[in-house]
This record gives sequence, C-alpha cells and structure tokens, in this order.
Amino acid sequence: MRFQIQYLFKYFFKILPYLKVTIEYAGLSLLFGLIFGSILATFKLQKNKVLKYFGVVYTAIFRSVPPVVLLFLVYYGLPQLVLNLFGIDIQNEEKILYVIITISILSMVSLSEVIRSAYISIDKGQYEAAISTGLLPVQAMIRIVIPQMIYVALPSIGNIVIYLIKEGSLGFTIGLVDVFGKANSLNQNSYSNYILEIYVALALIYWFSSIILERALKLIEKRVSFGR
Amino acid sequence: MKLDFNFIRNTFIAVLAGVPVTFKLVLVVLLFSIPIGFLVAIVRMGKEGVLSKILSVYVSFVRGTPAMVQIYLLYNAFPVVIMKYFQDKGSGIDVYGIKGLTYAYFILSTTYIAIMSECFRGGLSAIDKGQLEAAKSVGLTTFQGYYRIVIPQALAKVLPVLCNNVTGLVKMTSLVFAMSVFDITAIAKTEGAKHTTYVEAYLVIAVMYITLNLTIELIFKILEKRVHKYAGT
Repeated sequence: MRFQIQYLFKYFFKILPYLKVTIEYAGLSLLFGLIFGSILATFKLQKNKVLKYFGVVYTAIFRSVPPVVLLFLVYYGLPQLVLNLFGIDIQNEEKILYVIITISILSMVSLSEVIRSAYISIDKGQYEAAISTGLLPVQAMIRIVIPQMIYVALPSIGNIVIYLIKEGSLGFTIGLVDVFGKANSLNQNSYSNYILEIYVALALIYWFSSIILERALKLIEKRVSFGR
Repeated sequence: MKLDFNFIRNTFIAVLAGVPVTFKLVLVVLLFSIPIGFLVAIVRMGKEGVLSKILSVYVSFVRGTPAMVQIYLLYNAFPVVIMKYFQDKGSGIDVYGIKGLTYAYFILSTTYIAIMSECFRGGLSAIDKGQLEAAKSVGLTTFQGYYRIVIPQALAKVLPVLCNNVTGLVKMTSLVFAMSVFDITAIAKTEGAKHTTYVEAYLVIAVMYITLNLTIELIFKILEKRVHKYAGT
C-alpha cells in the first residue's frame, strides 16, 4: 500500500463541504461566547462581592474541565436536567446543539477574561472625558471605550476562534457529522484502505483553516489600528 | 434529576485506578517537552537556517490542527501504512505490538514540544538582547549567560503561560481514551457505559480534573511570587 496523492485530493474535496458545520458551531459559539462572556466580565468587574466571586469561581471551574468531559456532561446530563426542570424533551435534538452549548461555555469563560483585561487596559479618563463632553454613559461606552477595547482584544479573540474550531472537532465523539465525523465515515466505508490519505486530508483542512484565519486576523488588525 | 450517590462512590473508587496513569502522562510529557521545547525555541530564535524553517512548519501544524486529529493520524493511520510496508518487505517488526501508552507519550510530547517552544520563545524574546551580550562581555560563556542571566528573567515572564500549558496538558490527557489508554476519562467512560449512568461518572472525573488543575494553578501562583524578584521593572 502506497500513499496515493490523487486519493488525498479526492478525499480533501469530499470532506471540505462539511467545513460549513464547523463554521456554524464556531460562529454561533463565538456569538454566544461574546454575549455571555461580556456579562461574566461585568460580574468580575463589580465591587459587589457575591457577583464578583460568582464570576471568578465560574471561570475557575470551567477553565479546569477538559473539553471532552464537558461535552459528555452536556450531552448526557442536559437532556435529563431540562426534562426534569421544564418537562421538555430535547433528547432528539440535533447533535450540533450540544457541541454549540459546550463550546459556548468554553469560549464564554476565555472571552470573559479577555474582555475583562481589555476593559482594565482602557484608561478611565477616556470614559470620563466622553461624559464630560456631554455623551450619555451608553454612548461613551459604544463610541469611545468599546472600539478601543476591540483593538486590544482582537488578537486574543482570534486565538480563541482557532481554539473553538479545534475543541469543536471533538463533536464526532457524540456523533456529530462535521469534517472529522465525515472523515471517519469515509474511512469506514473504504475499509480503512485509504486511511492515511483521509486523515492527512482532514489535518490539511484544519491546518489551512487556521492559517487563513490567522492571516485574516492580521489584516483586520491593520484596519482597526487606523488612527493609532 | 436524581444522582445516584452509591454509583458516584463506586465510580470514584474505580476511577482512582486511572489517577496514576494521568499523572504519569503529565509528568513524562513535561519531562520531554520542557527541555526539547526550550531547544526548539532557541533554534527558532535565530531566524535563518533550514532547521529553523522546518521547525516553524512543525509548530504551525501542531498549533493549527486539533489534538484528536493528530492522534488519529499518528495512532490510527500511520501504523497501518507502516505495517503494510514492513510486511511487504518481509520484516519482522511489529508496529501493532507497541502499547497505546507509548503512543500517548509520543504524540502528547510532539504536541507539547511545539506548545512549550512557543511559550519559551515568547519569554526569551521579551528579554533584551543586550542582557546576553553584557553577560558575554563580562566573561561569561553563552551557556552561563543563558543559565544565570537570561533564563531567570525569562522565567518570570514565562510562568503564567507555563501554568496555562500544564493545565492544558492535564486537560489534553483526557483524549488518550482514543489510544485505548485507561486514564480517568477512559475508565469513567466504560463505567458510565456499564451502568448507563454517564452523568454521575463524568461529574466525578470533572471534579477530579478541577481539583488537580486548581492545585497546579495554586502552585504556580506561589512560584510566581518567588521568581518575581527576577522580573525587573
């Protein structure tokens, strides 16, 4: 058995369309992560001890659990919990839901740390100056503070997106058909005859995606640095 | 939802058998990846040279692909092909005879050498070149310059990242079930499947991982305070 380059191409293009599943869960998890991560970050910035410690403990717990264990817990535990609390049966929901929930929790925790340190890095004077020129607090945040925070946080957010894609690849362990799941089923259907070609193709797809993401991020950073 | 506490206790006892495996994985991989990762970082600091280029491709690959893909590639795919090759040649080498644990050490180490090298590279490049030059100018050798001047300063910068990497490694060992190594996750998986009480099984090991990782973070916090004096201003 030899490594056959034409099969590498064949499987590369067979697997590639399933990247949209990966993009779907990564995109949604980033969105939820940003929303809930901001809330968690505000908790951690509070003077109120209860909220602050809730944020700190929540972060410590979910940062320490391996993603695969969290995924299994969500996959097996959440349907029971929801059924008992609300009487809704989500057992037959699509698998991607559990992956999105798991990756959202992971991204929420990492993003809350990024958002928190970005907020701290912006001088308080910026907000105060905005208020003193007559802007409302909401305006001061949206127009002055948050744009500067985005500039500070962008490199870390890019790394988190790559991290989300990589951890989301574990979805195949609960039966999600993304690029990894597709590669596994292609391998079974061909009786492992092209096992090396298939997994090299899969690795290349992930590798190229993260290189493209990194490049794109560099470009965006340049644009956002406008005026600096 | 009712948790079966009887089962929680039983799983906890069963899972304890996997604790040494998880510890062994973490320690062996750190033992390999810290020194070799440091060497890789030093080679990559000098930008020219073929070796530096090759190493940067390797680091990019490891960082750009999921750990599970690397495991499938090195544990599932390569041995099949290599075995066929050996059989064709009539060689008696048996690749399948290698234990899963050996693969786990190897694969986790290759991943962590790359991750550690990035961490060390960040730390070393934060130290001004003048420090090493000054050390050399007072008569220290390059090795002494690194050992006495550069590394202590870099250490202070590197420790927080190193802490992240170690806890990341603990989390990554949870993937070795794919190489039929029975660490705590793999045992919880089989125990959960045996009694169809997955939630209890995974809760038990989640608590174990949290305890382990928070302990590691605490140790690093103490270390950080100790090396803080090298950090300079």
